[in-house]
Amino acid sequence: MDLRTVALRPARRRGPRVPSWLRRLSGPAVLLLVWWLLTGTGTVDSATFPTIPDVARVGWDLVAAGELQSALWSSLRRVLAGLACGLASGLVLAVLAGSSRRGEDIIDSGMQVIKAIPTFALVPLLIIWLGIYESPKVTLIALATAWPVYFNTFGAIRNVDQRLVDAGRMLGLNRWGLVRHVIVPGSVPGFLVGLRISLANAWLALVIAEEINTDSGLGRLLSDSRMIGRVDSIVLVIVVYAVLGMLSYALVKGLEHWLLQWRHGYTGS
Amino acid sequence: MNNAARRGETGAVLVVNEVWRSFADRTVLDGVTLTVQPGEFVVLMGRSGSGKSTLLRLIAGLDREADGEVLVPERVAMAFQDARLLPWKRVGANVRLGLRGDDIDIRVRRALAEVEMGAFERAWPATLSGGETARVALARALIRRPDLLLLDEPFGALDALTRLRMHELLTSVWSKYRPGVLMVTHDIDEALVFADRILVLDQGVIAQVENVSIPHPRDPAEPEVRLLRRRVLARLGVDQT
Repeated sequence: MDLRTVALRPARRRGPRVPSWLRRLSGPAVLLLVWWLLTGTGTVDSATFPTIPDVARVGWDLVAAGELQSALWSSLRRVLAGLACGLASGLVLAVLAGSSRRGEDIIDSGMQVIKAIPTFALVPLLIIWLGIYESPKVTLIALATAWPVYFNTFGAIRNVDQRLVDAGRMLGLNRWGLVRHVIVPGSVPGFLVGLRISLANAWLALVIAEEINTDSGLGRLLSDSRMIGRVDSIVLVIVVYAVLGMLSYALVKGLEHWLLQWRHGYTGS
Repeated sequence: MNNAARRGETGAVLVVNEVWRSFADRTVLDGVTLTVQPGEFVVLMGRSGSGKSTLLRLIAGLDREADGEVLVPERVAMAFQDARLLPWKRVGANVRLGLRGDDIDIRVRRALAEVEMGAFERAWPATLSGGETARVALARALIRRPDLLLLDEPFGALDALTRLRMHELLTSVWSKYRPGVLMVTHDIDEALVFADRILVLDQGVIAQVENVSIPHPRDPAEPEVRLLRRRVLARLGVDQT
């Protein structure tokens, strides 16, 4: 009989591994390299797209003047306030709808409607209701971040293994005990998926929200730059958005690592 | 007559009286009656789909849509075939779930030590082997000091060697606390290791009752054990001649 060789590879010796966060940075590094190649060599002229040193210089000037920090702080405050409201209401509604049929009947259909409306179409209404200062901005961010957390958490609650719920009941857990020890922890993976979408939505909503009569924030910086035709500071703000987006992604990753350690048996430090 | 009085009257830790349960138009339990006395080890056998698990779920209170009467003591514990440890709680937290008290840490440690899992208190369930998982599930049931212990094929998912080890372990912890046990199993040899009484569920009723008075430990080669084995298997539809 003809036998076929199963190719065996000697186990590779594991050298010191590059930490994953460093490897993750290789993507942005490639983008920077492309940027540098296109602008630094003059392929794209700097009136169309600024060079990296141009942007760095604008950034430095704005930091020296204190403008970038204060803009960042204003925007961050809006995002944090909006996220806090959005995540809290999304979570509470998901637990209410997830743990009883009646809750589902009342809440879920309502949330379906909210999801069906493009959030940003509500801007005119929010302005009429809430004026043009902070509240419509925070509300917009809250609306954009509530539903991803709601839907993913609600779905996860409904997918919690019924056998584990039975086991919890056999161990004498009451309704609240089941929610605390079985249903909520069991829906954490779904919540994290929702959180990831919500964070992305938060930055998106921020950009839209800051188009409403803004006297401070990154959006203000952006519209000022547009008025005076400064491509370099426009790009600077975009870079800041990108960094903020990456940081929030890293935050969710860190949260996943911590909250889902039971999945791989990671025991922490 | 109230329930407590009835229990006092019979002295049993489990009374199942004329229980009837159907799914759609299929009658699964057609008037099942059985009792378990304190310290008695009763094994419930039956073909696949005979309603063993349905009956156990009714007794556990996980399913209540049935006619008839089920009386259970205050402290009932159950171990499942798939263990059902909460994967997001460490072994120790799984064992202590739903319990309170100042001495709880010590009790958890003692319960884990009893099933030879003392070193695993901080381990995640996902890192345990099948046998280790079954041990923790057993510890989680026994720490409740149940008067009635329900075992739903607790070792059904284990390999033969691990199962034999678990039989020894269950024998030792059971003889220490002597709760009344109702165990569901497919495995006639497992039944013969433990049973004071073997019940065969068929056509929705207890079709056969075997009182087993053979002393422990039981040698499978002994004629009496072999005879009993053959009788039960025949009732289960396996002819061994």
